[in-house]
Amino acid sequence: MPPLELNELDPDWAWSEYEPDADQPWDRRRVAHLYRRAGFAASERELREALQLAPAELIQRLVEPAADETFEAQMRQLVEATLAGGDPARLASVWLYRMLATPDPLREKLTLFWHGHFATSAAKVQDAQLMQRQNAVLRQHALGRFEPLVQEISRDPAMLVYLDSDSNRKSHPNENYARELMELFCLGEGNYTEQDIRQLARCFTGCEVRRRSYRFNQYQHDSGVKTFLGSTGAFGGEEAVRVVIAQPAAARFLVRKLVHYLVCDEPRASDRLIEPLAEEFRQRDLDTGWLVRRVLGSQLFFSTLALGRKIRSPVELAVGLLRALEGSTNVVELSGELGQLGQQLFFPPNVKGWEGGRNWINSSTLLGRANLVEKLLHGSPTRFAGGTLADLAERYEVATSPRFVDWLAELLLAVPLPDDVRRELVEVAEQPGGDRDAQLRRTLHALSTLPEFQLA
Amino acid sequence: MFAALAAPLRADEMTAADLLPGSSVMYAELSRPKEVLAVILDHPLRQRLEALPPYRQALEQPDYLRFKAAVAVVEAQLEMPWRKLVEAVTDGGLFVGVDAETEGLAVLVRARDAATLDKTLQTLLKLARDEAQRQGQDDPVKSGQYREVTAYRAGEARLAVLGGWLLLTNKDRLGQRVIDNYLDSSPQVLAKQPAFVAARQARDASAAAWSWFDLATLRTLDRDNKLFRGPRDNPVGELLVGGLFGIASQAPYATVSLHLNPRRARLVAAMPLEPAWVGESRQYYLGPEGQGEAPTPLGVDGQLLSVRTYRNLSEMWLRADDLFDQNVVDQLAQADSNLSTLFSGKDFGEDILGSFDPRIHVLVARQDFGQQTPQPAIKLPAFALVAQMKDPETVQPELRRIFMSLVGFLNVVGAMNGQPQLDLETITEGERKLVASRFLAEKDEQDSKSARINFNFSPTVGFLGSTFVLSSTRRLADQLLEAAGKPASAGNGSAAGQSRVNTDVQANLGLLRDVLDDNRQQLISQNMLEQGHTRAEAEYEIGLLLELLGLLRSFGLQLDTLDGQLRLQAQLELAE
Repeated sequence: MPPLELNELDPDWAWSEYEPDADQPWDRRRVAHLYRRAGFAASERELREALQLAPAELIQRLVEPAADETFEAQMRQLVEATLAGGDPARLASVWLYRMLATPDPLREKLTLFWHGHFATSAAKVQDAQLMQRQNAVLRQHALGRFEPLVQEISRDPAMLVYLDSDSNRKSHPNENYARELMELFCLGEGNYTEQDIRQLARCFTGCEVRRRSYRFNQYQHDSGVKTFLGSTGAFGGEEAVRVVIAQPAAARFLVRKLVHYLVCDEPRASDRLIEPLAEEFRQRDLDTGWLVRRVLGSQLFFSTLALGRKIRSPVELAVGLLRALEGSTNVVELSGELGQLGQQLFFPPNVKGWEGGRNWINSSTLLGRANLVEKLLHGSPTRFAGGTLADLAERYEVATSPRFVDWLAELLLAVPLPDDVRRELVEVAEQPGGDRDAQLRRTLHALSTLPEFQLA
Repeated sequence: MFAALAAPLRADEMTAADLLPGSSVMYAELSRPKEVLAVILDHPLRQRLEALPPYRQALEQPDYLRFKAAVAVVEAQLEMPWRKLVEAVTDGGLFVGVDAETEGLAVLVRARDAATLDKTLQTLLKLARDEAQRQGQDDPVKSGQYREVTAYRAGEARLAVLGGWLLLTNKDRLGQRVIDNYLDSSPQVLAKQPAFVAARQARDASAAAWSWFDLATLRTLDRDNKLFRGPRDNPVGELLVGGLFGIASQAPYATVSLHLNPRRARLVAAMPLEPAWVGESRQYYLGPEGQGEAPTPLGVDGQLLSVRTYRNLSEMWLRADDLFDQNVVDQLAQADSNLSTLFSGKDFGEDILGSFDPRIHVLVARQDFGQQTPQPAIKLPAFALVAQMKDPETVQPELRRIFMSLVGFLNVVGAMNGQPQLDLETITEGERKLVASRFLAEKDEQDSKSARINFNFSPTVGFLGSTFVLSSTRRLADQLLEAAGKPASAGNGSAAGQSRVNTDVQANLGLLRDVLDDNRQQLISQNMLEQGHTRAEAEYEIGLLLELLGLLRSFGLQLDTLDGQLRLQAQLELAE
C-alpha cells in the first residue's frame, strides 16, 4: 500500500499484521526501528540475532521476555541501598541504570510511559520510598490490564500526596484526583462534566495516607448515592474506577495515547483510525499488553508513516545511544544532565507529565543534547561493552571510516543519512588528531548534532 | 684553626651544600637512596601489591612496556641491572636546590665513582641521539665548555659531570655558579649560610630525606604578603592550620624530614619557635606563649578516630576581625546572631563557647549493632565531643535545657517531614548525669535491619564533674563518661625535655576498613551508579579498595613543641 497521510489510511490495513515485502522489508533498519520504539535501541548483537527471527516472533519475545531473576535481585539490592540514603533524586539514577541494563526494555519503555501518564513528582511528595513504590506498581502493571493499574494508582500514597488527596473527607471532598482520573488518566477532556467530578470526588472520600501507607477511613467516607457518567449507586472508590474506565471514551483515549507514544507524534490520530483498535481493546478488557503487541506488529508501525516520525525524549536519546553501543556510564551525573534537558525522572513538570514531541526541541535544548552526548563520550566512566568505542568497532569488524559512519547510522538513526552529510562525517572520522578512539568519538559526536539524530 | 676553616675544600670533600649558591631558598637531600630503594623494593607488602590484578594490568600498559624496553637497553649497554645502576649512580646521595637569585632548580647526584657516572651519562646521551636519529630528528643533545667542564643541553635540561657529581639544572647561570663553586670553593655557598647551618645541626641523622626552606628570604620575596597570611577566607582552614602560618611568618627557616622503615613512614615538619612569635591573634591556637596543651586522651571501644587539641574557640570567635576577611567576619556575625537566638539569647562567642576550657577532644567510634533492631541500612560511626566546663554548676543546667529544647525542635521538624520522633530520658548514676534521646521506631520498622539512617543516632549529653560530653549515641556517651571518671594516667608529656602536644590526631585505618565493610552494599551500589559497573565489577572494585585499606594500620598527625621547635608530624603505619 503506498504511503498516505496517517488519517487517510485504511484502518483495516493499518492494524493488520505486518507482512514484509519489497516496500517494507524486514531488514536492519526496521529491526532497529522496532527496538527504538519497543525499548530504547538495538545493539549490533541484538540486530544480528533479531534478523534471524520473524517479526511476530521477535515482538513476542519483546513483549514477554524470559524472566531474569538474577537481574531483578540485583535491582532490588540497588533500590534498597539507594532508599537507605532517602534521596528521591538518586532514584532516577537507579532507574536509568535499570533502563541501560534491563533484559526487558519494552517494560521499561512502558513504565516510562505510565510515569508520564500518572505523573507524580518527588518535588512535592518528598519521599523516596513512596516514589519507588509507585514506580514498582507502574512497572508491574506496565503491560497488564488497565483496570488493576488504575485501582492501584487510586490507592497509591505518592499519587494521593501529590494531588493533595491524602486526607479526603466527606465534609470537603477533594476534587483533584477525581478530575485528573477523568481528564488525564482515563477519558480526556470533553468526556465528563463538572457535576461528574463533584460526584466522583465523593466516591474517594475516606482515602487517607498515614505513615506512608494508604488507609481507608470509613468514617470519613461519603456512603450516599452518587450519580455520574450515567451510573447511579453508593459507589466507593473501587466501583467508581470501574464506572470511569467502562466509558467508551476510555479505550479510545488510551489507544490514541499509546499509538502516539509508539508510532508517531503527529498528526493527531483520527477517531476513524483509532476506533477499530479501541473496540478490540475493549473486548480484550483493556489489556495493555495485547494493545502494545498489536500496535508493534502492525503494518502501520513498520510503514514510512512511523519510521523516524517521533522526536527522541532526552531519556530516549541518552539511553538509546548507550544501549545501541552497549554503553555504561555514571548514571548519577546523567540523571542530572537529563534534568537540565527537561526530563528529570521522578520529577515530571506537572500533573500532565511531559508533553513530548516537538516540545523537546528548541535552540537551547538542541545545543544541550549535543553537549550531553559530548559529556557522555568524554566522561571517564563511559565505556562501550566494557572498553573503548574503537574496541567495540573492532569487535564488530567495523574497520574503515565509511563503514563506521554507516554502522552508526544504522544503529542510531531512524532516517537515512543524506550522502553529503555522510561524506562530511567520513571526513571527520579521518581527520588527524588523537588516536583511533578519539577519531571515532569525534565522529559520533558530530553525528549526534544532526537533526536526523533527534528523530526516533 | 683559622687555616683549617679557610682552606679550600677538596672536590671529594664537598657536599651538595658546598656547591649550591648561598642564595638558595630550598634544599632537599636524599642522602641514602639505596636504603630508601631497599625499603620500597624489598618491602614484604610488595609481593601482595604485585599480586593485585590492577597492578598486573598496569604492567601491561603500552607506556610501561615502552619504559621497560628502554630500561632493558640501558641495562644491556651498561651491563648492570637497573637497581644496581641506580644504587651506583646515587650512592653518595641525591640533592635538590632552588636558587632565588637565578630562579633556577639544580639537582645534584653523587655517584659511587666518576667513571660509572660518566659512562652512564654518555650511554643515556647516546641512546637519546640514536632514538632521535631513528626518528629522523636533529641531534637533541648540544654540548659546550664552561671553564674546563663539558656541559650538555637536552631540551630545557643542562647537564654536567663534576668529578663524582652529576649536575642537572634548568638555568645556565645556576649551572655556572655550581661549577664555579666546585672549581673555586667559594665562600658564598649554602653550606656557609647561618640559618642553614643551624637547621642542619638540628637535623635527625636517621632521616631518609631532609629538606630546608629559607622562610626569611621567602618572606622578602613575597611582596604582597600572601604566602604567610593564612586562610583568611576560611574559618575551618584557620582553625586547622592558622597557628602554623602565624609562626611561619616569624621563623627564619623550616625543615621537613622523612623517616622510613618497613613498618612506617613518618614526615616531620619543624620550625624554630620563640614564645614572643605567638601573636595575640593566634593565642587561641597555640595558647599563651605557645603553652596550649591538648587534653589527655580518653579511650573507647572501636575507636576509629581521636582528635585532641588546644583551641580557644571563644577567643577565635571574638577575634574574628583580626583573623578573617570582611566577608567572613560578616558571615560570622550573622551566625553569631542566629546562634545566640538558638541558645536562648546568650552570646554564642562569650557565654557559650567561653564557658568551656580550650582543651577539646573529639572521638569517632565504630558502632557494633549486633542483633539489635532497628538497624540502619547505612551504618555510620558514632561521634562525640568532650570538653571541660569552666563553671559546671552554672553551665550544666543551661546545657541540659538547651539540649532538651533542641530535641523538641527536631521532633517538630521531624514530624513535619515524616521522620521518626525522639524520646527523651534523663539518667542519674552517681555523679554521672545523662540526657539521652532515642528514635522511636514505627511498628513496621521495629525489626528492620535496613532501617532509616536516623537509627544510627541516639543524641545524648552527659556530665561528670566538669566534664561535658555531647555524643551522637548514648553508648558512646556512657563509655566516655566512664573513661573520664577513671583516674588520669600520665600527663601529656609536658615535663622538661618532653614534647608539649598541641594537637593529636590518631586514625585506626584497620577499623576504618571494617566500617566501610559494614556498608559494603551501599558502596557497591554507589560504584554501580557512579561508575556504570556491573554488580560483579563493582563488587570486585570495592573488595580491592578494602583489601588495599587492609594493608594499612594507622595514621597519626601531631603538632607539638619541643626544645624551641614547633613540629608537625604525620605517621602512616602499615599492617603486619
